[in-house]
Amino acid sequence: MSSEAPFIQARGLGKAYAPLTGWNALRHLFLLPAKEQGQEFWALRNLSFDLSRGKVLGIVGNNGSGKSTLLQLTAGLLRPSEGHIKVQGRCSALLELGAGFNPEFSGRENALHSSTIYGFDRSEAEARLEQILAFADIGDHIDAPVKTYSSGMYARLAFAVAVNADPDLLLVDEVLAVGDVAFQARCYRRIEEMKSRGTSILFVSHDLNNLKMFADEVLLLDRGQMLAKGDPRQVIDTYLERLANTPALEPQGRGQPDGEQAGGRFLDFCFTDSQGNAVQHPLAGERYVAEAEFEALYPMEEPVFSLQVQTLQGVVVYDTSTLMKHQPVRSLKVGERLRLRAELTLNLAPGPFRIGFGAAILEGELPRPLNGTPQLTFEVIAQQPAYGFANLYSNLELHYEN
Amino acid sequence: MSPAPFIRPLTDALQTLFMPFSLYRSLLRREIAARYRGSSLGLFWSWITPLVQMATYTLVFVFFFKNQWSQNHSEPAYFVIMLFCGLIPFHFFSESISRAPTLILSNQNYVKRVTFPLQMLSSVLIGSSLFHALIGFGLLLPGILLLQGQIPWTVIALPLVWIPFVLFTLSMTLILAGVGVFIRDLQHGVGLMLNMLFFLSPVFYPASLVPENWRVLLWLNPLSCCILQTREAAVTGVSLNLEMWAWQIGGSSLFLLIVCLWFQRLSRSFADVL
Repeated sequence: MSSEAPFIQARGLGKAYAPLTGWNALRHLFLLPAKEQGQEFWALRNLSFDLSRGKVLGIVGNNGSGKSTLLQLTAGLLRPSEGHIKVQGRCSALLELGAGFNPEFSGRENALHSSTIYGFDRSEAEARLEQILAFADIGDHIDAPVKTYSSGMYARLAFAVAVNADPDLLLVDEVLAVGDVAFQARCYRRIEEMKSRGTSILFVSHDLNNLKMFADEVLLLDRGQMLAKGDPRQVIDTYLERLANTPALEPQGRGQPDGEQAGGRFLDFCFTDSQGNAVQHPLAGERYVAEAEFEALYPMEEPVFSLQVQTLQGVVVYDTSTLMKHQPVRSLKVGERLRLRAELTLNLAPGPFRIGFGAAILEGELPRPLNGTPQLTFEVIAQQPAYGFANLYSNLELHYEN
Repeated sequence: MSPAPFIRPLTDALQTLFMPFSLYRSLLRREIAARYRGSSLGLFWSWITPLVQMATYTLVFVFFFKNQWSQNHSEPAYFVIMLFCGLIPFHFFSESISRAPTLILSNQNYVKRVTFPLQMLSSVLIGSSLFHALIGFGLLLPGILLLQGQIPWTVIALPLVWIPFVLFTLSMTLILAGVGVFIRDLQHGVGLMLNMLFFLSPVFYPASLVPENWRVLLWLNPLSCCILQTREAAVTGVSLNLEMWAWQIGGSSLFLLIVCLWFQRLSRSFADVL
């Protein structure tokens, strides 16, 4: 193994998925090539790059741009459809935290088992356990079943297992977003340390500022193609520019009618900027507009309309309704239509959220939900990075004693 | 000194079934422990289940139906022993086979998230079924001693009898696990087949009950073969037919080898379809 050879070498790398149906599935089972490929889908195409030892390559791109496919190809979990990728050394993939964990088993048992998956024998795994426990810092919980863990504890343990496997290559897929600030700081310090010892890192993250800081190079993917590669600042600026200019895709930017449901139905739901252009990547702190049309399919005595913003995990960030605003809504006759319009300031932290309207009728004191619009997903872009849900636009002043 | 170039892929293919061994052991331990995790009696169930099954079958076949064995041998004890000899191989087989079609599907993390020798999932499944079969023998052999007063010396051939059977079952598990990824209906078909096999194999009747010209089929079916040979070795004291055994071991080893190579090739595309 010559030291000049790049640690990772990808040339003309491409991955296509083709549905295996009917005879092709059968031919495949007998290890025969598929006859006349159906409509194949290229998740990644014509990608070439090198990565040397101790370097960090950041990967950015929208969902579906091929980031995960690239990581899976690098880890050897997928076979390239064309081109090749060569990796020299042991790879530890953080494609998903705690991939080999069984919720019924204790943290200690899972840590030991995961170490054996990474290729250590029992005694090596036991020897590593101490480091893992020190890094994960979850105290006595280590002997409790993993199913009782909070998501933060789970992530800490899983991350600790992966980084303590001493890999030559670390693949990180958007996993550092969990856990508290102190733990994240520890993770980044650990990554720095591994880097200085010659570990190469492929890093997928939405946290663009961290990428600017950590990555030696950044690669921008868009629908399976490499659009740019090079200096982190330049590439990330290109990415942000593209995000701001991307017109919303039809199924994502504009909701489809939800079909007939009890009460009524929503039509033509959209989330736009003040000029009426659909947006997918709104800027934090700016005003945006959600609009939809509602048609009553049954007479509605005391209708209530609501607006809700959620995280992708379903945590309600904001919920308001005509009831809460003591806003009178008159009863609706069958076939009657009305237009809902909500203007809101996105004081949100950077990251993905969902927005949607809902309709309900009042039963006694409480509204009974009937149906809602399909929820639209958008991703907030912020100049200043922050973690969490809300953007409180705080500053941090330091006053020294002397 | 080095083996011929075409031998290497063969030995490699077989090796990944159990190597790295620390991983195999860790997985097997989890597999066995996971089943009873959270239940208060734990591993005790592995002993209770066969005993209760035995009691039920004995009640039905000895007292409700008048079985052939119980006519020749007036005491039901003989029937119980013969039945148990049939149930252990059958359970070993059905436990492995019934879970095989969904084996990869239910362990997608090992396909898509970590680099993992996927054929090991099959050998772990076999290992855990074998563990339960051993518990069964732990009940059977003292039972024979208790009910018959002695165990024939031919019992030492039992491990030999089981080797080809285990290899065959492992091969079938690999095939079903691989095919199950691409053809999802497989698990329903397999359930049906096992149901048929339970009655078509001489689990609760002697081979003599099968018409003469059909009897050869019993010896061609590896499951009934193992049942009959287990009975001969542990109960009736017929010594192992070594010539036949040589054919069995040769055939099952070759079968496993081919299946292993096939599975390795096929498993490359698992991540594409899951």
